[in-house]
Amino acid sequence: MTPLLSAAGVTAAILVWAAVTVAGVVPAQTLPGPAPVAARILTLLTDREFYEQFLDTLTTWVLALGITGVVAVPVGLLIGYFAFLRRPTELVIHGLRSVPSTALLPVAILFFGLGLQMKFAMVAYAIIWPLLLNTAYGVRSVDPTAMYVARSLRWSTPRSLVGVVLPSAAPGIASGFRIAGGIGLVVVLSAELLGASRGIGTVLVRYQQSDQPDFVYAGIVLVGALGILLQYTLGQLELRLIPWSPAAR
Amino acid sequence: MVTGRPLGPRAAARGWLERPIRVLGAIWLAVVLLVAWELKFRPGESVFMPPMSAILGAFVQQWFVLDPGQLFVTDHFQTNAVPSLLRLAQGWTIAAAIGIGAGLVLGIWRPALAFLNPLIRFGMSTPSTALLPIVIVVFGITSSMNVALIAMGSTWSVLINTIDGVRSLDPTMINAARSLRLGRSAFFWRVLLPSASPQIFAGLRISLGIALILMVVSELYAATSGIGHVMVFAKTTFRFVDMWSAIVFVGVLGLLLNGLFGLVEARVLRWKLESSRGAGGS
Amino acid sequence: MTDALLAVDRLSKSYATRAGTIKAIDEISFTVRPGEFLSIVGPSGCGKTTLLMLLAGLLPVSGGTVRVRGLEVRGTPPNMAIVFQDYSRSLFPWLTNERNVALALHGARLSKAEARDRTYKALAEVGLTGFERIYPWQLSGGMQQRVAIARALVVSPEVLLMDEPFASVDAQTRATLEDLLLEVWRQSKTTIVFVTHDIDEAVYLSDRVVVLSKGPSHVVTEIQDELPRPRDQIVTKEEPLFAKLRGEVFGLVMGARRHAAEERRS
Repeated sequence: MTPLLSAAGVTAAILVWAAVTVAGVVPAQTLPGPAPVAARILTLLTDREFYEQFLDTLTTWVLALGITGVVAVPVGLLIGYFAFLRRPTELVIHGLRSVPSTALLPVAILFFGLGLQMKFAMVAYAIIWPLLLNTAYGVRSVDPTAMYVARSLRWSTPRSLVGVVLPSAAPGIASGFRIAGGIGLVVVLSAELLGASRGIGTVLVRYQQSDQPDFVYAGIVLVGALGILLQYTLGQLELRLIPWSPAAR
Repeated sequence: MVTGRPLGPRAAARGWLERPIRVLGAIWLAVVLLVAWELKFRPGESVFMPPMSAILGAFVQQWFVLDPGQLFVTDHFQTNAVPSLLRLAQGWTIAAAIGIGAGLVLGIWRPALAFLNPLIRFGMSTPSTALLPIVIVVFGITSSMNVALIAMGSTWSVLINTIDGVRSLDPTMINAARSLRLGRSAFFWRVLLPSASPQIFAGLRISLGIALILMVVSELYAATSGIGHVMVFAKTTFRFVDMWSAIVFVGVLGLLLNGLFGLVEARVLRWKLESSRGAGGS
Repeated sequence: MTDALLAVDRLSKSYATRAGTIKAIDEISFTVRPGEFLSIVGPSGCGKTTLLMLLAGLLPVSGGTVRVRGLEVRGTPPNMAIVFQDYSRSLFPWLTNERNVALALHGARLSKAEARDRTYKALAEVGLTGFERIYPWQLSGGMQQRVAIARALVVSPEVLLMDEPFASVDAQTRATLEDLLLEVWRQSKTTIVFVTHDIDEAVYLSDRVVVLSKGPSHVVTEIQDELPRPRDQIVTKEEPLFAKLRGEVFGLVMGARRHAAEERRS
């Protein structure tokens, strides 16, 4: 029943969209109909250059997520584990994350120019805070009983960190990655929209400035699809790698 | 049992020192970082990175003035910060209203939720900044463009969290309410809404952060006034101190908004915060 | 029976699942006289809670009827109140004890003063005077259940249904609550249907014990409990009749379990 309803919902939305454009309620320049947009989607999907830009965005996203993650998770573990670090770092983190990374775009451009480095820096700055905070939070949710077990087995601190704390914190870390993934995509696109030299965002800007709204809408649909795909992938990874997380049970 | 930790005699004697020590323990890292910045970036060291003292000085000077007649804010503040704040307020309020309203309906009415689910997922996965070109196409370079982008981007978090909050209503609570024979209206206002409110507030908090980001982004891209505009303008005219001053402004604004929100949340959800923290007893 | 307050007639409940229809309750019939204290016991998983939900009108019946004063039950009747097992989830955490209890009077159109009066009286009856302005989760489990009982009593119900109300508290608290319940019952003269898995408790409290079989459950038998009242945790439990009744009920419940286990093995 539910899949039927969902399919009906999508169909209804497209029909309403078509009706609105045909009725001329909104000028065609502002809102092209579903047919031209669908046609443009196909055009884009078969366009070599679009793929290259797409890949550029995706690569930046993956790199930033991976490298920032490698740095953030160990630091986050330490912050979460050692009480004397916890409060001061949380204060600093909350302060710094109040400055949206997009506000630092001019700075990033000053330092790194308009290329991959700049985008990487922007994404890294944006996602390191949720990664740190969620990792630290994951550490704090470790069951004290599990720690007692480790101590009764006389494990050293590093061994406990890796053997008990890390797996217990893993669901929290995973949720941090999911959030970071979403934010990362937003930031990459922002950087591309606002001045970077390559990436899907630059394509969107170009179409907008050359007054081709149907391409703009097509691009957005594809970006949305990318967003769904990335979130799905992260979710699947979590299920495979962390079967004990509450989300998987 | 109602909990509370008794103080031992030695701790009580040290009591007057405890507060300052705790504050120090929280802020030492922040202070260290600020001092490090000041030491590293002396005047002239880097064009792009002025000393922290210069930034903080400019921050105070540009935005605030010691004049109650002007409500303690400069003209610069009036012409730039106020429009930004207005856009933020309008956009976020719209997002909250739509998010909570639609969220309540969809949370209660399952078929409607199934119907709209793919669209919601699509909407929430689309990075809101990607909508920037579209809102420009539709609204041009006006304040409405900023408000629209903020509203469109921040409503998802509220919507989804509201739906979650409604759907996670405990079945035992529902049975209890039914056994008390509460009418529809009483059930909605006295059971459903309070039960969902922690989740709704969580969604509102996240959406506030997103709204702030979108406010800045939309103004960086295309605006003739506003904080983002100030940032871009300062950068293109090589007045980097002004640029950093605007960045600090956004940061402070973010902290303030979060803090205010936290206060309101703590008041409304008093029962939740304490019940999660307190023990249930035997 | 014409003087029955609560009449259950060939009550059945089935669920549709992917594996087919599962019958949880198979034609249960019994009656409850006004002022009676009736316990329902049975092996784990026999559907005691389901039965209570049916009596309360919170689940739709698949067959048969539940009648209170001759009227068929559809949704909880106004003269019925229920105490659930999980007090932490049946009391509302955003309301103080006072407000939780007062909520039961919501539809009664009383003046504010009268509602407040009755609320305070109900809380006093369960020994919680002074705790009105406190939230339930600030109290221990036993005290929370008292709030739930107060909420049930404040409407002066004719029928009080209780679903294993003392299962989630420790043994000592349970004894205190059992005696509190007997006292409250004695004073209010209400009718109580008490579901429990604790056979000692059933024998200690009731006038009559209904024993259910393993699911799909039916009534195995009803046992009259004529231990002298008022009952006492020490004296009553030393009576030879107590041991006899206890053994009888225990054997029936265990027998029902063994029977079901044998059925599964064959």
